[in-house]
Amino acid sequence: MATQGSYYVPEQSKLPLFASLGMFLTVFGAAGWINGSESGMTVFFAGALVLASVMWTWFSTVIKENLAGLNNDQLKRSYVWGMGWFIFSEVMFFAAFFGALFYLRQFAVPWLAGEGHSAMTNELLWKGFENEWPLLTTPEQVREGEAAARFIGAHEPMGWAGLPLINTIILLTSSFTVHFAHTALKNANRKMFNIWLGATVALGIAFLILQVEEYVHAYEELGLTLNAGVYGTTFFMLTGFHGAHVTLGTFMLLVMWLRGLKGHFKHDDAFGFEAASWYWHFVDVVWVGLFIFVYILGS
Amino acid sequence: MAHGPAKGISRWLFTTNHKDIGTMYMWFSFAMFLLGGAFAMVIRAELFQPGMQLVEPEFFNQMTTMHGLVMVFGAIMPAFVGLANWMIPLMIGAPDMALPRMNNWSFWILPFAFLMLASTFFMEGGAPNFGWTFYAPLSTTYAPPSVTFFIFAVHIMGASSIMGSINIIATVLNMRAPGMTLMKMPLFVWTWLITAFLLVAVMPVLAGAVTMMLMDIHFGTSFFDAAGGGDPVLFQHVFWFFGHPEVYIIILPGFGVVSQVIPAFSRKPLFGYSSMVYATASIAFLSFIVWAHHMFTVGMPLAGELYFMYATMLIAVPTGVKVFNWITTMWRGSMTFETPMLFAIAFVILFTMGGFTGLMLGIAPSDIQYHDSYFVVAHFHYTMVAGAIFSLTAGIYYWLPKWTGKMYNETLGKTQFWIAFIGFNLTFFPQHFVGLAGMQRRVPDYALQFADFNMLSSIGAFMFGMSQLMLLFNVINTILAGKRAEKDKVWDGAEGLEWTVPSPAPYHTFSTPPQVK
Amino acid sequence: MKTLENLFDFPFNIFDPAGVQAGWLANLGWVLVVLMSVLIIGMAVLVVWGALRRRGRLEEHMPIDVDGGKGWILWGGVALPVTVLTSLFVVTVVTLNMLPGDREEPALAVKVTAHQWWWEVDYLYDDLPQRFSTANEIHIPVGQPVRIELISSDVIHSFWIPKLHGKIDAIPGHTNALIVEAEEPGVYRGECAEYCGVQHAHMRFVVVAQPPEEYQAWAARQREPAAPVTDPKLVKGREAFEGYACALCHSIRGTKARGQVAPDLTHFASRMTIGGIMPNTRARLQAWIVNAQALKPGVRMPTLEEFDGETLNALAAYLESLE
Repeated sequence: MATQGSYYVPEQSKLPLFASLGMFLTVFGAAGWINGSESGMTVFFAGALVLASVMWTWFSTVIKENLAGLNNDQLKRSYVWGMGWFIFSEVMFFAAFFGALFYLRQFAVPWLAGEGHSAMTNELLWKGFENEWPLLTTPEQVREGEAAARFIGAHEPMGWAGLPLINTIILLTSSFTVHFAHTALKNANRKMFNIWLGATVALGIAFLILQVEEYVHAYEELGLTLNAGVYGTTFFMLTGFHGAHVTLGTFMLLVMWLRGLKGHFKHDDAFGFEAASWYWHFVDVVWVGLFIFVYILGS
Repeated sequence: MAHGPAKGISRWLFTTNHKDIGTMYMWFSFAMFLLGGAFAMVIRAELFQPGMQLVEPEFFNQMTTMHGLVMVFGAIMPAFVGLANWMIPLMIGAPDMALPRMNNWSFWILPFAFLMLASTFFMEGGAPNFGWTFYAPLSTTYAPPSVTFFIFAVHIMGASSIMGSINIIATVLNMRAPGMTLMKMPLFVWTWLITAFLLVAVMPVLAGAVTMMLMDIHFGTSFFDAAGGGDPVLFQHVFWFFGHPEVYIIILPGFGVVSQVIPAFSRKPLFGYSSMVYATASIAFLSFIVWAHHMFTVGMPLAGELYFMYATMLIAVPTGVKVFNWITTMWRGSMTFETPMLFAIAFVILFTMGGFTGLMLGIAPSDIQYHDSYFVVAHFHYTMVAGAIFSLTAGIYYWLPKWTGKMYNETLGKTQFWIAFIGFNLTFFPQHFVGLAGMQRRVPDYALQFADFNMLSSIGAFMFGMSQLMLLFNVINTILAGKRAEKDKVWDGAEGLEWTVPSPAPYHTFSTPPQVK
Repeated sequence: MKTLENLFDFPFNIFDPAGVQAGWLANLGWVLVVLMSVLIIGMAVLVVWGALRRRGRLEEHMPIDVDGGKGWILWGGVALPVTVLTSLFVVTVVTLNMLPGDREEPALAVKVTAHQWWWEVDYLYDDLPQRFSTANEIHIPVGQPVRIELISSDVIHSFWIPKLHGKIDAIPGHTNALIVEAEEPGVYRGECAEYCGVQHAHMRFVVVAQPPEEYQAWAARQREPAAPVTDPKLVKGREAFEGYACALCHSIRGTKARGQVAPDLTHFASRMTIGGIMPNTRARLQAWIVNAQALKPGVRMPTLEEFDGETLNALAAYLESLE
């Protein structure tokens, strides 16, 4: 087995195979469920359970190995690179949706309204449709009328001044609190670490609650739905995926908080917490992009 | 760490060893290669004559779709990941990949993903039939229900690729032996580092594209539906933002293999090493800004056409640098022509040809005549088959003695090369002409005047298919009955750390890092 | 075995253009084909020469000559591509500038709607009564630019008449346009070039380029509603058309058939093909009516087996009378 200073190569592990199985059952079940198959939901939850329990075991194993002193500095650098590039891949995932927003807003909608080289598009297909953003009247609404249209625009756009602004403040604050937690940990001040990290988790949960409230407001009062044409589409896909990432980030930080309470992490050895905090900063930066491009420029 | 592999099936199921995982990747990809090849045989059999003979058009369309998907995501990409797993730790003097368990995870996702994809054949409405580029709305509003399974299969394949690439990046950046600076790394490692970066950058974009499809199909969004303000062309932009780097993901590791093989058999160091590195990096960079050259017929504004056209043409410069580097490496070398070298030389010639036809397609006004014709089919098979598959084959023959400790049958190898070379050209060279003469791609039936050339194509395809069975036989025969490789350094001109370990390579290598001067 | 020459001797060879735009593209095409052939052969010769040069005897490795060759990289790898590419770019920009047609707006505009798997053609005359509709067959006057407005009713298709112009996609919800000008009278083949589903291979059409007078005569006839019939057999045929499923999808102007989803058949007998794929003859027509699915599997036209022989004959005779 590994000695101090040499790179730890784990022995055989059942984790990867079962993680793959869990992942497969999860997506196979999800696809079946979405397609209306009766067993799909069951398979989905069974798979999710397998995947979750494998992940639990996997992370516990890694933590135990670290506590056992198997991880040398080089291995820790591998984890750092791994997390860093994972976050980069997430950035590219959001880039696809921001790119879609840019294209739809700058090109697709104006073209449907007859701008640029597309005068005939408007003339022949969508007569009367006008370019606006946020798009509140869909091309279909103009052509087919309210009753027949599948995509019905929102009555009014989501403003930026209310809940979104509060949420922005919450998330930006949480970026600071998680940073303070990190500083406290580096100074070996465990009490402040627990407090600041707990505050970050609380802010994350507050953000999520307000985000749900905002969605309810959008659906019930603004008529802003997934079916509201490209405005609703981009609004919900971007904020929705961001919300999913906040959920994951909050969960990660919550786990780190519980680990902190159990006495995990040393002032110079806290990769799990650091990875979660980088993820949190990433989620925060995405929100700033959302706040500018979806909320402020979209209302 | 000292002990060898576990006994029985659990060695493979639960392994964390980069060599085992590399081996599994290679065998899995070969199985997928045979499956995708079988689909290709169905396609060529139907196209042997004009008119509809063997299969229904609906099934034919499933064949063309699945052939593309299986070959790209199931055969070529995992095969190169397999090579990377085997060779990168050996080449940089690392004890294993940086994250060994995640390494096995990224492998085991693949069999499940392809099980999921293959299961769609037995679903109501049949397998995906919208082409491997799955343009909306054919792949959304008009798709069979199995599209949902296709979407999720692509998601987990993407997860596998991203994890595999992160592992490779971490390995290359963090696990090099002392003294192995970046600019001393073998070119294969360099090309894979850049490929891994491309994968991490664009697989999430593909995930985004299929997610948009999923939302449009099932949850009422309108990304690709003009009725809600969307645009079907948006799909193509997102897809090709992934898709163009993807073609370099497929070819760059091939460049790497060829850059190992040619110096070895020319008995000269690779000419212009640093220019090769910079050329690879430039190609990767350019691949991000040229995607819409696949879309010259969608009715882009003129400025867009000019930009994408000129950016595309620029790719010819670093590619030209590479080709001339290979030629100069061979120039006045002490050449011998074993099987890997034959495949590598064929690669250089045929890939160059694929590059030039690509240039013709990259020129907007001529593209609108060649687009979606068999000329395109010929072009990208020159890059995918003569590019990726030939370089893979070269790599397999080159490193097989290192993996197994045994020599393959050289006569059989050379015979396979010539059959593959002739079969390949017989299949795809005539397709340039039928394309220029107006035959569209993805058709099960065609006009009478294309009959002769299609028949040639089909005969060539059967030949090429047979040559791959010879490769399979040669590999199995080497493992079971090959002659022992006499030296650790099997090829006397080969350079690199992988040749300093015994043949076959022991289960664990470089547990103590070597010193590189 | 036919020769290469024969392969290209057919009505959709892009190197034998019959239209102004295709002519420019063909010239560019020749430049490219010749240039690329020279480069490909040159490179292949260079690679083989490089490979064969000084194979040497292996026992006595000559000293490795690693120097030199930088000139090759600079000249061959950088200077040559840059020169070739820049000149190509210039040629291309010139061609691109000419393509949209630098003359005045064409007098004739045709709206082509791509459907899975047929082409609806509407002639957009400014004067509404002048407008008419046909399917899978586009007539254009020779020597006059014609603007094609392209839309799609379902998936993405691509409109391609190799001898007249390059492709342009028909994208649902958006329009694209193309200006074509035929230089010689003739019948040119068109096809769908973007994969669009089961019958993509058979989504064909023809373009008939006629001298302007002939075109005008054709258009005048197309504008007329179907001539009333008196022959009892034809009357029976018309009634069958109106009474059975036909009229739900097809329309024949001047009768009760007003379906909107399938080709307008008002002047069906004047067309060259059935379904875009086969010559318009009586036997094929009957086969098509009864079992279109066997001839073009997946086509939206259902199998109609309810006709007795006599009705089928009458129906076919009636359709054949729609000159």
